[in-house]
Amino acid sequence: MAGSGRGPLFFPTAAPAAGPSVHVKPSDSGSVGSTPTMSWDPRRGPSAIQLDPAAVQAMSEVEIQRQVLEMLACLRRRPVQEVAAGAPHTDGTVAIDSMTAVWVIATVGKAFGRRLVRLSDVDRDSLRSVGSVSKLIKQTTASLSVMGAA
Amino acid sequence: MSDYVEPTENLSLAWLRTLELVHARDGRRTNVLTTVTDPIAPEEPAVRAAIDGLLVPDKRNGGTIQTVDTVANTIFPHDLYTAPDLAWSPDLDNDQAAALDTAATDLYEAYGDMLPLLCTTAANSRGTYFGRMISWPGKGPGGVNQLAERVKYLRDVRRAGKSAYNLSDMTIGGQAEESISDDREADDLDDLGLQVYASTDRRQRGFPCLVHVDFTLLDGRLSLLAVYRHQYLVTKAYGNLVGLARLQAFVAQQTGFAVGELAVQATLADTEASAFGGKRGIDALIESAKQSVQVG
Repeated sequence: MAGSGRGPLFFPTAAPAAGPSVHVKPSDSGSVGSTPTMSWDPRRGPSAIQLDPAAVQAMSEVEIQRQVLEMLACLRRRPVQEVAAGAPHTDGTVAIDSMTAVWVIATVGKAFGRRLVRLSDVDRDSLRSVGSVSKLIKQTTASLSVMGAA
Repeated sequence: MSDYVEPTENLSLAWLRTLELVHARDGRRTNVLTTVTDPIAPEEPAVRAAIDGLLVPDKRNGGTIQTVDTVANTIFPHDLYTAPDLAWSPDLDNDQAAALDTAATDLYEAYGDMLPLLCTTAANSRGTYFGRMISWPGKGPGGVNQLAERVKYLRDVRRAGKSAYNLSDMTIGGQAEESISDDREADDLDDLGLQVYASTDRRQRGFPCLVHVDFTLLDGRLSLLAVYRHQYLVTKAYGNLVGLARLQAFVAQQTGFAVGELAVQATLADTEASAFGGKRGIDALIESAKQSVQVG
């Protein structure tokens, strides 16, 4: 820390992203379609992430993975490419800690206006990577009604 | 009888010495004080490996075994905080100050949003420690952010050029509730403690084991004391130290003070021998960690 004459050892260092409100499309990461699926105002923080529940529901598992990477980029205020280059889990997708996975699930659930899961019922392995949490999202949103979604 | 563990530089050795001391005295001791002189010093990787090797997520004796990182996250969710590469100072320019504020606000908001979901796991059914710190009473967003208030207060202290604050004492449950329920301004704080325990709580065991967190500023260094009513030395203590050190580093970064010592007072410290192979099992864990230290 500053007072001890050295940099923070416990935290990764990062500069905050700046700029106006953004709309993130799957195509921004070299993927599908042109319909905006997520909007975010960086002046407001991760709570301001807004997802289109119908678009999420229509996504394949791989597309959800890209969406999750974009959400993590907002959370960490880092470029998507940097987040995507994170350490891989054994399933080949980016490894994340369980706390981050829960944030992803909560944020997607907010778009649907409901809680997607009870954590007591979730296998811990579903909370270890972008791939595993995307699979869980795909499974839990498949049959949801998007009526009244946020 | 009270026990004092000789202070160590890093949290790995502090955990190991505490475990050794309590184990040598039949596995359960009252009022055990553990001190880490440099909480942000690197851990001993091999000691960490020894405890990680034992704490494989599982059900055991009616409870759930959690990894060190999971336990640490209950106190400070490290991965949700994107720390700028600077510490707060009254001399920061607007952009730098905004970067720090944004990082903290993002953390609070992200955690607040996920708090209801976090509480759907049995271990969190009564809330989480970090939830109680940033959104008292800690089961949903919108509660009192004790942590943000302490940061604001300590920044004011720093602006005033003070390097010591000796009015900070233990927060007793009812007192803390009174102070945080009166919508008092941070300027009025006369206690830097974080309440994580309600005076109305009648449970004798289980959550919360951590009942109080206290910050003390002296000579420009911000020290932290955590009080546990039951410290589980194998399943929880290492992760608790990691989480507390991260919490302390966060507050220090957000206020610009140096990191002081980290102390843990366990009213009951327990080696949990019956759940980990009895005396021989704890012997083996200590031996493994000690060998690791020598090798490392």
